Amino acid sequence: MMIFSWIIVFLCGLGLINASARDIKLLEKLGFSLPVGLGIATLLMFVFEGFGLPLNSANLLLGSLGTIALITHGIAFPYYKSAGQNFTFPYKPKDIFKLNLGWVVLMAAIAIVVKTIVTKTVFWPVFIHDSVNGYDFLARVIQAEGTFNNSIFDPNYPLYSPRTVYPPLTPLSFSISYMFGHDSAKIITAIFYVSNTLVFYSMLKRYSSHLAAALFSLLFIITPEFAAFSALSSPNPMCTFYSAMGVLSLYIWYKEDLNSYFVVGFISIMLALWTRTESLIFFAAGGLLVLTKAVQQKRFLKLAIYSISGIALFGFWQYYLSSVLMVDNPDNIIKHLYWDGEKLGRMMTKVKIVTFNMQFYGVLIYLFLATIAINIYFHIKHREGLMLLAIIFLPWLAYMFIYYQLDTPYTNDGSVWIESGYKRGLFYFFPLALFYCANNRVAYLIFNKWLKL
Amino acid sequence: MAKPKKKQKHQPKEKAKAPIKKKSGLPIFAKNVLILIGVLLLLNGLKTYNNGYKWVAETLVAKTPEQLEKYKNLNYDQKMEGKLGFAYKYFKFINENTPDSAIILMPPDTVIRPKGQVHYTKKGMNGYTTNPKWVSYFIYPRKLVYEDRKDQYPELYENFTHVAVMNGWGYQKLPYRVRQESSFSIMPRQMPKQKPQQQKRTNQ
Repeated sequence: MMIFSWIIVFLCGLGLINASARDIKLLEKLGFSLPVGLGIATLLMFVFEGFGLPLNSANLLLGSLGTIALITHGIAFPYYKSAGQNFTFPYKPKDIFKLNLGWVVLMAAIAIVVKTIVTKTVFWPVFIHDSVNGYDFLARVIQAEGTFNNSIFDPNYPLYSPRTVYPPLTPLSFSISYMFGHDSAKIITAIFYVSNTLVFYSMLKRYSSHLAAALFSLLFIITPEFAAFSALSSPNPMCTFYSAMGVLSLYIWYKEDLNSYFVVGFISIMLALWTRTESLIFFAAGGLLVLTKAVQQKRFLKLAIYSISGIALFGFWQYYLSSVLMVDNPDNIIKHLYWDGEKLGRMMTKVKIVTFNMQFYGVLIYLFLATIAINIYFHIKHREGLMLLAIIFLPWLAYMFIYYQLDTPYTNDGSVWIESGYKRGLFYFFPLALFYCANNRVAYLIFNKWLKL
Repeated sequence: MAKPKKKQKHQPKEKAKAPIKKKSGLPIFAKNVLILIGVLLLLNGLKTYNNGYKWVAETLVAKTPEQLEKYKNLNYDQKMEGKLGFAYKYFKFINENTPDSAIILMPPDTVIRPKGQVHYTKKGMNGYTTNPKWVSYFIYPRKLVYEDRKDQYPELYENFTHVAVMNGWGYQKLPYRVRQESSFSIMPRQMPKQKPQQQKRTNQ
């Protein structure tokens, strides 16, 4: 039953992708299917909530997802027909002798790391504070009571925390895993770890060699803090998938005008907004790409769809919090602009300590900055890669601005916003930074010329 | 009138006519081996010179399979006990000995976490036990009211059904005397009725 349920979620995601974004690569389809399927499931659950239907009925959810899967695969049927007729296996048996041995080692390392982390993730139940006092608690109560607006939000005995009032994708996904019969919701984080690896490898491979794709994918998944958190039940790796892969998809669309990447990027960014509020910064980064393309092409339909959908989704959640759940987000954000140089200085000192900590992020940040320094000539002289840098640095600045707006002095008073929240939020930027490291003039010379067999 | 298209300056030569260029430099096999050595050196260098990668390689990847093999027969409760220690065991005890509708009186924070006790401990009560939201995860749908925050929920305080005994605190809140007092327990507010002896006899 459990496997059957997950197959339906997968088929639902795959159906939507094949119906609307058929031109993305096979590996990307495999990587996107479950996260997109889960995203659709959580959106459906909110529709059920609106109609007063139970959120803990597996039959209702699987029936609805199955229907969507049938419809979308039906729409994609002509594509399957032509794809089946034109299919030729891209490799010949003798190609095995041309294999890059370095690539083989890197892929073996990726496989071992992914297998180990997935096994560990699924083995241990949810126990970290943020999930116990947030996402997973809400997920269990949704499963027990069958409604999102449940006893956690009872005004006479409120049990919600800042983590419970984040957008609902994480708790709803967790509750789906309980609905399907799992003891623990960790299967969800395992799915996202695998998806992060598959999609990132495929996106890197688009512009660089197999060797570079394997190397930078490995660097991404073995980033110590990311690897550690991927084995826990934190929503950050989930949001990393939706926001980073979403922005990268939009970047590919921006460069190549392939509509499928716009669709998959659009879906991912919307689901990122449905996962964590701070994804607004990636919605804005994606918006920059969509706006620039719209101005260049003088076609504004995609821009309108993108902006209206994103704002509507974000607005809906704010409305739902204030008017239905009737809770305030207790994140203590200062809602007006102000200037406090001393606070900024203290915050930036902490940001610097965390960002440049090699124990947390290995060589990643240094590699990224070194790559910029090596390519600076091409950036200035030929204006190469500026858009890619813009969609990394602008959200990063915006991200730090959000932390500046928090109502905390950043003295050593025990609050650990930078040491915990910011530290994990940096995961969202890693695929983008490594994508840049693999896609620049110098990397092209190294991987596509010198190291090409 | 449309002009005829100009011939491009550098038109690509037809592939068939182009002379086959021999690749200069290292033979492919040697290059392949060199790349392999480079990759191995790089991975080893990352592991050797960075503590983060060292942890990933030597602890996360190398030790996890061994660890999971060792614990493979644990059930959900045992795994949770392994992670949260005594606190989880205690919450499980509460679940087993109270009805879902129970309202539990919790001790003040100073009792839950006495001075000198570290926040995260597997032997004593976890420091998060002072947070009702964290505790509720384990004992839902039971409700909690804390002695030092009783004004927050006066109605719950008035109607509590059980007392969470921690570090010996809690017996003084009961209207009856307990013969054997243990440091950690869960006690009903109303004295439990003795099971009728007659019934016991009939069963015998």
